[in-house]
Amino acid sequence: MAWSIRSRVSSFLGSEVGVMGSLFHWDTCWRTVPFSVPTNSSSAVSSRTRPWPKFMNWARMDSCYAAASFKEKQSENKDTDVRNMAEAGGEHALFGLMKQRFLSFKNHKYMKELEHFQALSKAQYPKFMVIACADSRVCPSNILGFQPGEAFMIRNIANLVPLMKNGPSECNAALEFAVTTLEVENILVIGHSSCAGIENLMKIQEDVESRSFINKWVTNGNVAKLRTKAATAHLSFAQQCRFCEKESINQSLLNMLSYPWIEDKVRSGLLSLHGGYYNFSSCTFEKWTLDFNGCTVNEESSSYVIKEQEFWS
Amino acid sequence: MARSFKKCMMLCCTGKISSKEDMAGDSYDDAIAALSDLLKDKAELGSLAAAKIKQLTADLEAAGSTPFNPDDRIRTGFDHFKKEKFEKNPDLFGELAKGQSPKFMVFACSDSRVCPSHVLDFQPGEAFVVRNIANMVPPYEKTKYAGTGAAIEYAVLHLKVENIVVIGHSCCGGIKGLMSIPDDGTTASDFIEQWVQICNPARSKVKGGAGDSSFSDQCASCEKEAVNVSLGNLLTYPFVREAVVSKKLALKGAHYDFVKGSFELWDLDFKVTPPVSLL
Repeated sequence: MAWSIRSRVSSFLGSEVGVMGSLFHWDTCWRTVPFSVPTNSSSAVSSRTRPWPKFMNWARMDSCYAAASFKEKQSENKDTDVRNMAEAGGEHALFGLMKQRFLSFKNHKYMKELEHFQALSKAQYPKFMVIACADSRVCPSNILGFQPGEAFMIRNIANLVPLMKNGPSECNAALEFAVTTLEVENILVIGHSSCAGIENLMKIQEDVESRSFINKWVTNGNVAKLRTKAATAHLSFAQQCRFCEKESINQSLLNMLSYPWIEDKVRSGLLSLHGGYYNFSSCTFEKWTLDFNGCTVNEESSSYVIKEQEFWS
Repeated sequence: MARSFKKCMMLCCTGKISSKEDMAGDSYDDAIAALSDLLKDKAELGSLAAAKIKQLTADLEAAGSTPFNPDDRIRTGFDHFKKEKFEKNPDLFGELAKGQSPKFMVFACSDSRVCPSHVLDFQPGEAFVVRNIANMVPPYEKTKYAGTGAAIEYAVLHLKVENIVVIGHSCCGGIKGLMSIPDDGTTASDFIEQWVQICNPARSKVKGGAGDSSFSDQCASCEKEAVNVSLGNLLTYPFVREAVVSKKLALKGAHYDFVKGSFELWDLDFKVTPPVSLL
């Protein structure tokens, strides 16, 4: 198969961080237009240590940023609206949109916390590893406000973690890196309402062989499905799915204990495993922690106990 | 081998100073003496050491005041989201509760510094996002790596996204790990090296054309070449190929450089022209 990689490269901002005087932005016709922004020269030369930006400082910046960017997106200019992008003129509109989005991030966030981003560029120290669904509505950076540097993240269909014995998966490599190299202190698995992956799992008929990737992947949640069917036979299909969404989170937490380097750290109190459930209809969040001492994991059956359960509405 | 690989990965992208095995002893004075000796021998580690010491100082200052409470942190984050975004945009979130129709599918690295919701300001509902080590897309394969196949299948056939963007980034630990695998192929990790070898063609290409360039320059090239390998792998999925040929789907590569504060974006151009008779 032959194809060419058309290297029509749009370089949004190529300035070195050290060159603070001016930035150039490229418009879609490839002209350069000098564009200067207020420079934070004091932070560029300061050698004082700055503490990690507190979340509420990010939150205050975010409020201004969110207000500005939502306003832009709701404006008359269709180029800024992703959903109207197709009508706005295809490729050029897309490049223009992504350029605008990146510049918005750079001006409202990156330049305002430059020293922090410079430190981050040398190393990351996330306290969390987060496993969340790929669903466009549930990014943990939005719903839990994780800022750059805070959370190492896996996103896959239905936020599933397979057992170690199931062999290589996208998840295993990331888990190994986060736990053994980054040495995160918390792993948080976040499920959500109306998860199509879980619904798919609940609909699979055992005696019908499926050729779909989706079905093959979501069967990693089979134990949760069996538990759900046993516990909720009297409930509607929608209610069973809700139950399974939460049960699969716990199954994923237990599956993580099948990795010896995770189990060792949890046993010695260096790593905590948490579950979270986001309901995007009612905008509520439930959070709990796996009580390792109450869990049993073996080939025939496993059981779990949870603690520190909270519900936020 | 295990320790050297771990050390390699740790120098790349973690905040943790070497493990206890590498330190002279557990006391503060012994630790500082060991660090000074190391820096005398390896002056090039000076700036990295400075960054880590700065962070350690900040962590200890913070730890001295209030210990980190993960529950409080996520609670604060959720309360802020609910108040500043959810409650201020009821129409948007009302629609999203009924269903999603994102125009983008994004492959991004799991690295904590490169979430596309920040870098490209994706709002709820805009992008179906898969995140894994080094933002890799394995080729079509029914038995292994079904998670990627599942995500692509769902995005292309069910959500009918119009664009798939694979975003690489600077200082990628996964790519550095790929470039650090010895030529004899011996691996030390359980899963990481096996995963990153998906982009072996990128490593071969970079090493083949490396000349005198430094290891870090080679890694920077590999970050972008690996994106192109992933774009090529996307085309091995029949439903992706069909959507691209019928112009319903565009494949794009991107690279976010958080050192320079820059972002590059490019297209994968793939088409099949109508046959022309040679008679």
